[in-house]
Amino acid sequence: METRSREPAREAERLLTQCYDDMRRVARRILAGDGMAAQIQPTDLAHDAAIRLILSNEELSIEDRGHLLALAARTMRRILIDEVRKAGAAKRRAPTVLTEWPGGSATTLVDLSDLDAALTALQVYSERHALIVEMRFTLGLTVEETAKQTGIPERTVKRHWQAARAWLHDYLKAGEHVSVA
Amino acid sequence: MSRSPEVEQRALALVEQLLDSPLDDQAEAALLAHEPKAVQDRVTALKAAMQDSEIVLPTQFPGGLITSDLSPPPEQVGAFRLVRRIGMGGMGGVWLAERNDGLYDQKVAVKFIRPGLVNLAGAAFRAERQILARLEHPSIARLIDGGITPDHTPYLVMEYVDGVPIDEAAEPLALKERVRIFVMAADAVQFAHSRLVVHADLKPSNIFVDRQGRVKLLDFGIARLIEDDADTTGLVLPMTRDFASPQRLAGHTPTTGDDLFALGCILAELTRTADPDLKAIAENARAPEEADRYGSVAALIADLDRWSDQLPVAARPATLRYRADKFIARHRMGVIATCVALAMLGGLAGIATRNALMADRANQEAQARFVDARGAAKLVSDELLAQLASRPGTFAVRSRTVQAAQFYLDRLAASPKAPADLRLEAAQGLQRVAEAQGKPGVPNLGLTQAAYDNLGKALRLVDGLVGEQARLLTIRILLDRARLNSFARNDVQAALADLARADKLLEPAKGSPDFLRAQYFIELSVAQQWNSDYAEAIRSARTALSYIPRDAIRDHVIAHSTALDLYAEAIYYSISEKQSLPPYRDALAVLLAYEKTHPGDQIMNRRIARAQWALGSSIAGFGDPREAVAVLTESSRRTKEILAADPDDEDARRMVRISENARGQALAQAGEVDTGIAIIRANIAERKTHLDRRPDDPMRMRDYMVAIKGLGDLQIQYGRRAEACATYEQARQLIAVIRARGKLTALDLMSASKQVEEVRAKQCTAAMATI
Repeated sequence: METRSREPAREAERLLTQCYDDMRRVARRILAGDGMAAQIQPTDLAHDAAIRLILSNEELSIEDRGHLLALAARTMRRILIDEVRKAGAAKRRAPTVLTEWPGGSATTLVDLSDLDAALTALQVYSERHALIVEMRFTLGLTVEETAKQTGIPERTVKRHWQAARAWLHDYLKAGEHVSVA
Repeated sequence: MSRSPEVEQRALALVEQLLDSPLDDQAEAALLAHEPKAVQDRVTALKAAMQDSEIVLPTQFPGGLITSDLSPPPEQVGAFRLVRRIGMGGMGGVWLAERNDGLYDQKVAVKFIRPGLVNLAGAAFRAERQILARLEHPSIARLIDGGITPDHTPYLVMEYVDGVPIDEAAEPLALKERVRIFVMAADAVQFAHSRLVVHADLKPSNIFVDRQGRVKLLDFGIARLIEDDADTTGLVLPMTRDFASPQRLAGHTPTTGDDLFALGCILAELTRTADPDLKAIAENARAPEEADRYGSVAALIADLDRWSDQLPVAARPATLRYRADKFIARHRMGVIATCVALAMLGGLAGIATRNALMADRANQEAQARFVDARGAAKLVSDELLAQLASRPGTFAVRSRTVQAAQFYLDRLAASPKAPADLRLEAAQGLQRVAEAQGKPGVPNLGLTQAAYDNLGKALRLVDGLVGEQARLLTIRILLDRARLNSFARNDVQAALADLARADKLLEPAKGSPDFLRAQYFIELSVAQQWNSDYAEAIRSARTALSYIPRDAIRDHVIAHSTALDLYAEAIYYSISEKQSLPPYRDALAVLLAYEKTHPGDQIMNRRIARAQWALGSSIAGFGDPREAVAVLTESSRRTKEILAADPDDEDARRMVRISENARGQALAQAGEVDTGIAIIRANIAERKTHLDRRPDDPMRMRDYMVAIKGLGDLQIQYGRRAEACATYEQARQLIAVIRARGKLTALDLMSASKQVEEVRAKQCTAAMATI
């Protein structure tokens, strides 16, 4: 039983790896623009195929599914950051990638690398909080969907989300790690 | 700041506990009293951040469950007073409203969009809305305005149409009349398609017929408008299952083919009839596979016109044609062999058969159209595109030209049993179109995927053709695709595979032109660089150089310079920066020599500017700063000239800013600090102008602010403390303005702000004291 229950996760991880090229293409396309900086939606990186792949795999256990979704989100963000770095190395000018934090009428932008650094830091302190942020923010899932995909009760998802975004906001506000292009 | 995991975890837990059951200050103090000081501090910080983060990271997300219904709308939006609700759509409520600003009488439909379904502030949404507002056609209800209500509900104001849905309007009409009003609707769709707008949600309830019998299409492009913004957030999109194509249901981005499918469904519904021709037309339009449908809405209309004139329709024999096509696809080699054999057996029989076929009037028309298409495709792809690309300010024209060429070429490529010369011609056309769409390194439309698809199509067309021409064309297509794979798709393995195929075809020693070999080695060097095989890349670049004829033919000159540049880049990264200087210099010299004898070439001008920038910025790194200044000055002058010729050229604009910045820095380095600073100031002024043209664009605001801050940094570096403080003060004020406008409460703004404040605190109080 033990081996059987791990198989789907490994299989999904393998399939996710196969999406890498595609993710790179998405990242390339984002960087192909002419601007000195690129502005993206957080969900621009939510690779459809990869996510559908995970969501549709009914053999996955709840924990695996949450883990894989977060992994997918993180991988896609890193790929883009990696591409930015490479573009910079190759042509000695890296565009800045800003992502949009969803807001009302105001557009709020954050440097993608800063966001990644903040999420990585949060993950060190609480894997669970980081997981919720990936689900809600990067993948654009609702509270209910997040609860369903992770098995964490809705109420807890809400609380974690509120605390996590305060934490991130505080972290970014502190700003010592933040880069200005 | 160092953080301990225990403290962070505890603080997070406490904050959540307080969120869950808020306590009064006293109880909260009591709760925290037992905690270590570090934890208490973190809880305080997080609670403070919570206030801000409500704005920065709202709880409600696009498509969240929370926003399933609308709060009652305000009585007035913009210049319009709401009269009554006239509908409830998938996106939100629709209201009839009247203009009441006293300017003139106007009835409009106001459509509220569920909050969160779209970010109205998004640049993509705004751009798309402008396109829609310009979509003027008598049968398309106009998009008049849009905005956001005080309670943050986005809305769109549209022309109000007083009428009934087309299916209702059609009921009392005779069949011919029904087809007539349907064609009016299809005409409007075709019009929009020609402007690259798709409806994406066509259905009878979106096609109104008013009392005068005029047809009006509602919600044109609206579904797409919203979807662009929202399709990755897992929303249920505004689309109607009954009329949605299989591709659309599968979640693909809406295309003209989906509109065609919906029209087919609507036609079938309006003409529930035994008329076999009409049935065939509807079925053709809504074939499950997009490739089996009409090529465009225009073709559907043409067929309906033929039906009205009682001519044979194209839709019926089509099934046969498609079968033949599929047969060819399955047995390509065999069919071609057969065709070749037949052709050799005697042209006479062929001509006779053809005449017999052409006796049919419909076929005659088809033949005429075919000849037209062939001529048009050739003209467009061979001449027009090449001419346009070398001229400034032609982005929009090129874009439309490519559209037209694509349309004709697809028709050519789809012709059943196409003879070899036609296939060759179509493949060549597709290759040219692909270049215009997305060939890296030349002015292109940025349509990478379309370019890639066309190269694939072209390869399939030439596949199996024999003869020298076909071989050389295949090589060219493969080289183009390799470049696309290297640059735009980052698929180096695929690029190397394409190159290996090209290499095999180049093999026969007899007749491969040297220049084609050179091009092959250039692409090989590119792929190897991307693969970080610098030694190989250097070798390939040198091999390429050995094949390039040294004459004044433009393509040869460009290839020569490109190979030198590749060589320089590979050396720069793998051997030594300094050794890369001579080939960088040569790459520039070759271009300049050409320009002397052929002045006024825009593409050359741009290449020279780029080569100068590459050389100048390399020299600035480790050479004589004076020389760097000279080269970069020249680069700036050229890019400014290019930009002046075409102010829409964003690539040139970026080049100006980059080269000006590099020039300013180099000047300061060379001791001309004042001049350098003056140039950076001018650069800042340019960004300001750029911002003023679109004052709400947060990217431009940021660009501007970052440049000012950069100037301050430079002034500090060269000891201009007083100036730096003035600059920082300017940056500080700008940050305050941006923040107050609420357009850019950017988190990275905070860090810029923080840095500015820090430097001011450290440097500027002292500076003030000395004044």
